Amino acid sequence: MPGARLLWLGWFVALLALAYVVPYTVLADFPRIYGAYLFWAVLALVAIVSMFSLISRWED
Amino acid sequence: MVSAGWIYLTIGVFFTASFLIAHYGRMRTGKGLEEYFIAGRRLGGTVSALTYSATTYSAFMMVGLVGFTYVGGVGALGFELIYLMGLMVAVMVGLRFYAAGRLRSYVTPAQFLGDRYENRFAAVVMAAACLVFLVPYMSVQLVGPAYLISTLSGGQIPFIAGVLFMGFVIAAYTWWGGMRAVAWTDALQASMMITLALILLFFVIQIGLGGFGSFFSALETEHPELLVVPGPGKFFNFPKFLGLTLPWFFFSITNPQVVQRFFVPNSVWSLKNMFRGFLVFGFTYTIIVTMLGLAAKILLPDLANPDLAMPSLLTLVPAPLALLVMVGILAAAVSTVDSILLSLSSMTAVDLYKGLRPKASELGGLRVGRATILIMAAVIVAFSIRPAGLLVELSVMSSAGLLQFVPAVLGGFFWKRATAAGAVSSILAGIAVVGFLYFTRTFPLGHWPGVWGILCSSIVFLAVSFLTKPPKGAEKFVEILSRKQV
Repeated sequence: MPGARLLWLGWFVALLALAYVVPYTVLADFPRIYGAYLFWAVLALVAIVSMFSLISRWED
Repeated sequence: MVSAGWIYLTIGVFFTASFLIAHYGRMRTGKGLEEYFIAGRRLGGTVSALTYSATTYSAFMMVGLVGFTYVGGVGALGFELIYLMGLMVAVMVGLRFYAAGRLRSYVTPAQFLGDRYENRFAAVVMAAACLVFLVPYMSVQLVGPAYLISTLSGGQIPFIAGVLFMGFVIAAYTWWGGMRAVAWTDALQASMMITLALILLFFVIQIGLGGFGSFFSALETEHPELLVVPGPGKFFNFPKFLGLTLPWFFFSITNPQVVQRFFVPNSVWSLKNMFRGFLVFGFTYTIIVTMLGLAAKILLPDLANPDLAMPSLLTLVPAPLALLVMVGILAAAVSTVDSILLSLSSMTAVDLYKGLRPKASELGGLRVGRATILIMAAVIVAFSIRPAGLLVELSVMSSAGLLQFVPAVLGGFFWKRATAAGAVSSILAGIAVVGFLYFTRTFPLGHWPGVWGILCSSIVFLAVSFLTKPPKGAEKFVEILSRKQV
């Protein structure tokens, strides 16, 4: 299923790009706990939920 | 300071419990390489998740990452969570590794390279590279906890005693019980690591800083620079952040001790639970550890050496708690070293010894593997006591060195055109670039050696694969595994 694989790959690459770009640009001048700290934590949770979803499709 | 007697007693209890568990594992281990090195592919999901977690998270978390957060701020959280997000790569190939392991009876990750590329030398290169980078890395793991024990006892327990004791115990139970001993002791150790870190966090925040509300407002008013990147003194400038995170993003498919864990679950259900459990563990542990680093900055703002943030924090809490947390840190180091030790000994037995002497018996391979555990343990203890410059360098560049497996591993699963020559030359070229840049202290355009290494190994992999002929079975191999997973 290369189509589904590409979609997942695109989604993961997008999440990763956000992890590098947002804290170094938009949040670089926002010294609050709900700035880069919260952003990275929430982004990681989104990634984890996405991984849970992909894992749940595995079959023997 | 805690009295040496209490420290000896606590560590003694901890290691006795570990050894009893290891012995229980030994009693349930059958004959053969598969039984000894990967527990006969019969571990349940919970134990698999805990051994995966304990293997991944070393003493670096409670000492190094706390120090990183103390000195560089929130970038340390980004670094560690990008590592955790790297599990995306493992999730894309995890079921493939598991299925290939069962279909082709792999015991080590290097066997996958040798089999997929139909070239024994590919497995030999991977195994040799792992030995070169991970033996020094294990030595460094013993150094931190040994210093911590020495500091906490006010110098009553010498550093050498800590290193010798840890080296002996790890070698003894790993040699005795193989993967079952390692996995089950890891399960105990992972539970201790996270529980004790959590208790310490609540103590520090609730008692020391008056609750999370006060903690956050103190951070924002006293140390706002810690809440942004690049952080104080541009500690996490972007090239450094990229150079640190890139090797760790791919950690889950490049480090043999974690890849080997894809082979141990007893079913796909257990494999799923291994990944799920690890993700929850990793996220929770990362948040706890980075919070501790930020709290240390408020409570102890003027430490000269950030690596002393955790030992100094422990001087502020009651002695029994400090003692238990120290055991938690010890557990983190031990549970990483035992897994690497077993993984490297399996690669020595299977990929080097049996790989170069195909007619050697399984029993012969097992003997070589078990002897390797003891020899390697002696070597890492010796390196820990007298760390030479070269070994320290190799340890530092280990993650960037192992990163060079990425094109060969991913290409092996997804690209039918990938060839043995492409795989071997990409690994060697990437390692050569990383080694050259590290030893000459060259950072072209400000970027770290790992970044240039992976760029070079990827280009070499593609170019050489296009110029050479793929192995006969490559197409079938890729197709069969693609049916298993998106």
